[in-house]
Amino acid sequence: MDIATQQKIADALAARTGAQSARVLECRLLTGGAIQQNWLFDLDFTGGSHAGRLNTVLRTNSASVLDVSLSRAQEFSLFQIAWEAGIKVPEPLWFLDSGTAMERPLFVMRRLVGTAAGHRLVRALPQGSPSLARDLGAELARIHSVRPPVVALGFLLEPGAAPALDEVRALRAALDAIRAPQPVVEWGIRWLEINAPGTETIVLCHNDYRTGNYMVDGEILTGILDWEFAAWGDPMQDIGWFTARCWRFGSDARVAGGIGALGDFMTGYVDVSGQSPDLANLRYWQVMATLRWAVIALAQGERHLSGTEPSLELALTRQIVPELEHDILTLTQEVPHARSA
Amino acid sequence: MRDQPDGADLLHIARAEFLREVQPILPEDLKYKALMIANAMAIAQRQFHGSSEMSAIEVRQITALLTDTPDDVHATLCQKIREGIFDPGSDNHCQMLDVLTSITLSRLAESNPKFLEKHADTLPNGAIPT
Repeated sequence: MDIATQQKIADALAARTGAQSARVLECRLLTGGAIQQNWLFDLDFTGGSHAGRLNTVLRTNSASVLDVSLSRAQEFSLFQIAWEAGIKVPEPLWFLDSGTAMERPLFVMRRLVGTAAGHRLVRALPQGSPSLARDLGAELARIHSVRPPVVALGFLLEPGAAPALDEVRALRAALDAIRAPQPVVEWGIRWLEINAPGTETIVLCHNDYRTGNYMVDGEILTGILDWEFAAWGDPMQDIGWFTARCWRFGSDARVAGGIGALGDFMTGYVDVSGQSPDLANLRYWQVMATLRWAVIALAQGERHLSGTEPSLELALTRQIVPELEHDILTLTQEVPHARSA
Repeated sequence: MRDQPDGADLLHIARAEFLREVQPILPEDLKYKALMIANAMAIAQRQFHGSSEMSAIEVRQITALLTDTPDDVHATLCQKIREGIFDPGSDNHCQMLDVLTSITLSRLAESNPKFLEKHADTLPNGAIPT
């Protein structure tokens, strides 16, 4: 981000807060995700409601935006709802629409203490952390306590009667956009279709609740990040995503995100919610999670292959699909069967 | 036949020297990127060996389970899976699972053989392909 753009943003924020001026102390790219960019953006306000130093994160779109994710304005609304519901999220501060200071829309939130990097976190906790696993379960239950309808979340699609089958349709549509046929992924989606469970309770699902998307300071959970896929859905969808092997960062024995035991995670969940979703469907939702990640990884590979966004990271993400296919075949085995050939 | 050293040899030695001499002296923020580059080179190296042979075997295995011989074997297979032709209880369900397993194991042998070693015993025909 050039210095002129940085100062334009600072000026716009000074105007919002009634400050005489705002100076940019530091600005650098923290993570340039496939969909969003997060910038460290530290300011010094002279006067106004936030006088003095303010450490923030500025979130804006990457060059290419997936149409499945929420807009920055919608994500900002979600942060506000979550913040008001007492969920641990970075405090949302200001939203600037496109054209205000940048061509792209952006919002600014207070910067949290801690680290989010999944591999680093799992490595730093070689024995796992039962307390962190419990806190993560509790936080997810708080998110799931938000139930439709919520007027401010009117932009979220109305929940369908069968969320699992809605997901199956969405996965197939995404798979059909991949140029090379994918028999194992197709096999997994068919399994999801014929085994789809019903959903009793519709809740606010984060839809990317996993290790790597929350901030931790030591073993203390400081905030949940990356809300751009949030939607109404089955609470088990988040639990399946959090516990799927592909999000354990190599610590496969610790089912709860590579951090702890499923029991600790669910204890935290039930402490807040008062009841546990039906874990009999856990395997189903782990298969769903694995397929969702496989289809996203294939789509990232397509972005590289299309030539519009040549990227080693995107190309290598495509290379993890065989691992996910291995998980799909393992999880969808009804009973161990004798090799037939 | 190409003169030696060929592409596979060059890739092998380039990766080895990159990891031995370049990666260790890079600043911290580039070390991860360097490992990604080395990983991509390792996958490419493995793909030099037998990839066309692998896909020929794959096509033969799939064709044996399809009633006709279509132009695009993989696309036809996907269509039939989607239609439920190989659902549990169908005649060729187990054979198809074997074929899909074999495809996945072959791809893993190229993309991530360490993963394959770690999880070799969890699939129906968990033998590591040679």
